[in-house]
Amino acid sequence: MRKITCAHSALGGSGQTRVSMSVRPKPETVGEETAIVLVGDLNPKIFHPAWFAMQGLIRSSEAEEAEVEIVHQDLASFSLEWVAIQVTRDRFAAITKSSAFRTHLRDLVAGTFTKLRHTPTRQLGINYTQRYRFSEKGEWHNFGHYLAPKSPWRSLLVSPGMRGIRIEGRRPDDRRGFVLVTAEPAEPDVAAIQVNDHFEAPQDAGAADGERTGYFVEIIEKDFETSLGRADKIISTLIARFTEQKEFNDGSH
Amino acid sequence: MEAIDTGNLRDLPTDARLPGAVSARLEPVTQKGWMQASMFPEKCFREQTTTDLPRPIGKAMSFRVSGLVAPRVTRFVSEQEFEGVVAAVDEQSKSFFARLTDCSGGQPEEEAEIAFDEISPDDWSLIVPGAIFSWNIGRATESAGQVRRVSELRFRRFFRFSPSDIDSATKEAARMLSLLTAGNDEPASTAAVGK
Repeated sequence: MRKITCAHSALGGSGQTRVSMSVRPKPETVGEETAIVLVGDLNPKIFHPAWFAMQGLIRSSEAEEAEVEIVHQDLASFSLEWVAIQVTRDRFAAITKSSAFRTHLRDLVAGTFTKLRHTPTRQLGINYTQRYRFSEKGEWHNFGHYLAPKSPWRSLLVSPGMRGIRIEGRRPDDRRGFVLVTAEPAEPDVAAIQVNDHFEAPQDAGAADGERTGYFVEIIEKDFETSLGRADKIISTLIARFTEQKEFNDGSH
Repeated sequence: MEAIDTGNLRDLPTDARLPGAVSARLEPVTQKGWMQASMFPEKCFREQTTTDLPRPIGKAMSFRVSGLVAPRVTRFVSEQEFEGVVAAVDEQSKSFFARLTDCSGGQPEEEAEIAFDEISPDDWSLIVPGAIFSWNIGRATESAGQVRRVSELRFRRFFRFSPSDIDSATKEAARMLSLLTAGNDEPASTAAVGK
């Protein structure tokens, strides 16, 4: 019989309550988010639902029913039932909460920046987040111990708990960028794991804006599914290895 | 920590209706799980917090953490997903024929006749042979928590075949052509026996 330590609001904190359990339940997926982010020099005020409809990128009825929160020279934000668009002067983000709309998210962003191909862009992120609810507080803490063993913190902190962890890896392809995995507590008993597939513009800094944006559009069109597949594999493997693990380093010995 | 230009944001009225991700609040930040930013003349610095209260620093501008998705965006769990290709359109009966591929795999391709009425009128102009659409059947959860069954058929609005797609299709076409040509090259007597 294994003993699991429960504690406060940080994943993997050590505390007062101890729960014994013999069966390891798998955490339940309670949400997901897919986002495409482009960083560059943007003009937020053009990102109005009416513009997207005029370009044929969304339905006219969607544009009419869009919940426009603000369209301003410094930021634009609106949402349809399936996607939210948010643009500041240096960042464009399109986000959907369901895998059912991933393809349409890709089409929307690729279409947008094909139309706006002269927009200067520098970086692209294809981000995938999954949220897991753990059946018991102890399991939630164990997940923190699993990702951030606590023995290095023994005698240094009282009840050390993981507030977040970021692990960066090199890209598995020959493009510039990195893969960044972030895990953090989202709410009690819930942890969010995000994979940020980050792409940098090609090294030839002299490339024209349109070429760089075209480069990112090509990645979105060509590598989007691969990127999300890789993200899904990273997250599901992390969870699978967690459920297989028998002992956790909570710093108690 | 990331520097951002507040620019004209500072000129917005304090009661401006702003999106979830960038709600500006010119007052001490007390909400849980919000990003906070100290205001400076030209720049503000924002730092992402995870949980608990950010410490108020005078008048601060706050950003909702990972609240990038506005509440309106529905969470939709797809239970069955098909990709469809329009094969033919029957203008008279206001319907079209489509080949459907079950995205979960393992199922043979199916054909279906779908009435225009099933499609958003905004998408009718997209119903042409070769057009691609997705068809998802599942459960949608509203922001209020209400769950409803949904069948969502949505045409793709921006789709281009990649050079590699075109290349592989060209090769496949060439392979099929060579098979047909090879068949035609058979001596007539052999072909007859084959029949």
